[in-house]
Amino acid sequence: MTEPATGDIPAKAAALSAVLQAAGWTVTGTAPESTVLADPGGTLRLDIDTANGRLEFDCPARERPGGFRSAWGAQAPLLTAAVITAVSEANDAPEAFVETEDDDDQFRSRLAEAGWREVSVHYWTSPDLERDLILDIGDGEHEEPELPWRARRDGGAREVHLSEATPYGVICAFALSDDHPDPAAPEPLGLALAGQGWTRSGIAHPARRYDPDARVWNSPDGQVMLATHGIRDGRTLISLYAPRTPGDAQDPLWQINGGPVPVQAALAMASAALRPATGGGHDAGFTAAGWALAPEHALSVAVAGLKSWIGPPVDEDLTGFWRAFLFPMPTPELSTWTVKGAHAGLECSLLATASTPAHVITAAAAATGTTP
Amino acid sequence: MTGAASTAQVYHPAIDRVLTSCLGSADAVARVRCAAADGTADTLTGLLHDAALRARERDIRLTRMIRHAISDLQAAETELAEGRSAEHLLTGRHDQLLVAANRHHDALAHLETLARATIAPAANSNSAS
Repeated sequence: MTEPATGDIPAKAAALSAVLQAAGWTVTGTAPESTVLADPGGTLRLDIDTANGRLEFDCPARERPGGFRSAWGAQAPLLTAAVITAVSEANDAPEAFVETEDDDDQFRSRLAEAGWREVSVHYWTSPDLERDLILDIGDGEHEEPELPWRARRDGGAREVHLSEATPYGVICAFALSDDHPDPAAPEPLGLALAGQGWTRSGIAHPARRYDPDARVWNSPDGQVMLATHGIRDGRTLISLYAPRTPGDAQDPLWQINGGPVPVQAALAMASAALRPATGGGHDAGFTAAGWALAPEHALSVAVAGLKSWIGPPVDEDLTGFWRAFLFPMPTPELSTWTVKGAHAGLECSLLATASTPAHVITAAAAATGTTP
Repeated sequence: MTGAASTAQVYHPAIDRVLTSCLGSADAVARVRCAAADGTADTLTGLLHDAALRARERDIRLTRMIRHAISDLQAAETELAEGRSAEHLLTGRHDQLLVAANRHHDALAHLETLARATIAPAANSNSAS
């Protein structure tokens, strides 16, 4: 089994819930380790076990004029929103509501058209043999499984169990849908930014020249931009900067790049960037945020202009701290801040221009200890 | 499936007809459905509701399996006509259909037994009065 590391599961489950809600699913119930969503059609219920990364689908029987869809249910590991959306759409498709019974020939044709081979009765395999579909009908003597359909992915590492009466179209959606993340789907940081009035920049943004997958966001007032460069386990590499002119990423007034940062830290930095710096420069800014000049600073006075600030601890043992070093260069334009710390045990490293406001730098540490 | 049973609002028309015949009226079937949906069903009614869903599952399996077998028989006919083996299309089909048919029969018999048991107390109370 190649299940994701346990620590990743709550973040992935939360991200899945956020993406589905952005796609029109509604929350119908919450518990400490569970979120229950209803699909946009209001018929399919999805219970996300956020602690264990398990999904439970539950659909009641429904009758329409001239058609009937049986009640069905499924249990699955975490799937992508793309697969779940395909399942929801198949569940509401006219084909799911059949006059008498659904069409076995059509079902087998769909699998055959996708290149799947019927190896034996009620057992199909995908062309790359990474997926298969089985109906386990038992031998008539022993107890048969309650959810006899099994749609397996990743060579059997991930397995969806489906009830007998699951519509054929829904079974196909579980078996055939690609579950690679949709590059256009909003991710949690993007959803949070959108919720605060930030808007996506056009795809012609210069940031996309060196990172085609970058997602660039404009602040509501157009004074700040934030580009996300990849997301992993709910943490993002970011570029946060103040363009000299709106939309320009070439020569910003200041910028801070790096990470990975959890959503809360990125949001804290983005929010801080919208606030003007209070007077007194960097010294006052760091001091106001509770940072202090590091003890070694006194020993480094031989380097003119070097600053070494120490911020909040990054662990419960108080053995590590957020740090910000200003490396002075002949001109302020060439001088840089190196900012290092950790969020919930995962190291974070940022590089900022000398002019980056202190309250933006210190905001990176604001979410220390939080989960993604 | 238990989870699906908790939210089912309607029964398949074929199952509905069986229940209506056994319980005596469509209203009686509706009462079973509603009690199961809103969680107020007594033990017997809950068992009847589960049996109705189970019977539907048995029904859909048998129907799907028969259609599957028909397709394979047609394919086998083609294979044999062209002088090829059709063993892979026919092997084991008899046993599978028999198992599915027996389970379908058992599920319907169970459903009818439960339905009669459900109306028996009412009939007894009526005769007592």
